Amino acid sequence: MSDERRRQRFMEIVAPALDDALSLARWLTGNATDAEDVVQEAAVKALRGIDGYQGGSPRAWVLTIVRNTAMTWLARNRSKLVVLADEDALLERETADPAADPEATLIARADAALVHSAIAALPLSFREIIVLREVEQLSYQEIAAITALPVGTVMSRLSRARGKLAQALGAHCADKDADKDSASARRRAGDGAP
Amino acid sequence: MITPGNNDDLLLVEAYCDGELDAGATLAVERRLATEPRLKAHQARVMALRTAIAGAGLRVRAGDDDVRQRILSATRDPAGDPPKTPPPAFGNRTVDAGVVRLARPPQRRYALTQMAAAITAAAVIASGTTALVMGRAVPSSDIAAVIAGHQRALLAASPFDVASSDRHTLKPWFDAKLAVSPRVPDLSADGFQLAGGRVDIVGGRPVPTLVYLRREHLISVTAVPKSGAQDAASAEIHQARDGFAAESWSGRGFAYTAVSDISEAELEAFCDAWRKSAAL
Repeated sequence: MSDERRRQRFMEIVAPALDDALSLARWLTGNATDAEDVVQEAAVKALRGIDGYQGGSPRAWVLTIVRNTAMTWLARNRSKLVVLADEDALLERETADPAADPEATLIARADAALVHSAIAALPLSFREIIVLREVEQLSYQEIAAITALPVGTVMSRLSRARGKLAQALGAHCADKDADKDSASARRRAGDGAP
Repeated sequence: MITPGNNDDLLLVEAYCDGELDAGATLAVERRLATEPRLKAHQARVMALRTAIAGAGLRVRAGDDDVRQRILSATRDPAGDPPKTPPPAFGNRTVDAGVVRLARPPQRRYALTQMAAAITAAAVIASGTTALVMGRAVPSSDIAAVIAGHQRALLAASPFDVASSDRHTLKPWFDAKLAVSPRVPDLSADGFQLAGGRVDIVGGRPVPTLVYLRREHLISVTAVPKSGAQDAASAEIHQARDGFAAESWSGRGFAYTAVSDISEAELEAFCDAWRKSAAL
């Protein structure tokens, strides 16, 4: 393929997916500046490997490159953050208590800042699954292909990531309610005072 | 009480919430949701979480042209790791036109759309193909429907309803199914294997689509029956959309559109071979 043709294909396939690429990279690396570095590196790889695009969803192809680039980048620059120790077991322990399942109404009330911090706090291997599903809106099959995981693992990680997020959002909102209750109780007590 | 069965139930509910179940499994889950409060509560939690996430604005909108330009220009001149040969000047100019166009859009949010439009226009001109707008064989809404049909087929379990490399199987199948009989040329000598056929919907009507294979790539040829006296007219349109190329022509009562992700040059070769073989 000629360079002109490759670039043309690059602009057709990769350029429309830049928003998706930046979103994924932002949530994997944790900030917009690093995300730009990762996407830039991924774009160079995508152009070089454009002959390897064999049809199928162009978005999933681009996101696979971004995801792999981000993982390599994180291992190189943030090796302390990439904890490859048994994250599955870790989250399993933390979410094993069904009594801690919060009410849906509490979760729905969570504000944007809370959602951001709860997702950022997830271990990387769970964060990437929830971002691919809820931000990039990919199917289980596509996520499995991008992360090179079996679909069953994708499903269980997604479920446990959701459990963890639900707890974080539900617990926080419950705290806020408790604060409000005690505040109004104090106010009532104050009203009663002379 | 946590048993493996319980956890599988919850995964099933989440797959239901994610729209990953087929009709049968969906029905089964809906029946259980109606009778099992534990599953119903889990569904409510997942949906609440999805709502909270959707409302939190996690998507990065690269409305920032600087970011986009920096990323795209990095591919043109990657620091320390240049491509083996520099792109030819003409290719550069094509892309530059797109980027320059992007450099000062009045409204930043539409930068991508504008860029895509500029690039598509530039690509059509650059590839040296002439869009014959006069006497269009196929209206653009039909082309969009044909491309959508091709994309859907790529996502489906099988890209065709009937698998056959034998034109004498396909033609009667279409005759019986749709009461139309499009040309089904055999192009194996030209390196395009006939793989099967399917029914697509174009303009609200079921129409026959032939599926050919080139290496691992799928080529769909959709034949829309035409009324009117345009039979003799023949026009070609090249369009790039979501990375797919399309070419249209007409003859013998049908308007044909070929869609594929192979290169435009290959698609042209395919269409030429097709027309030659079908004597159109």
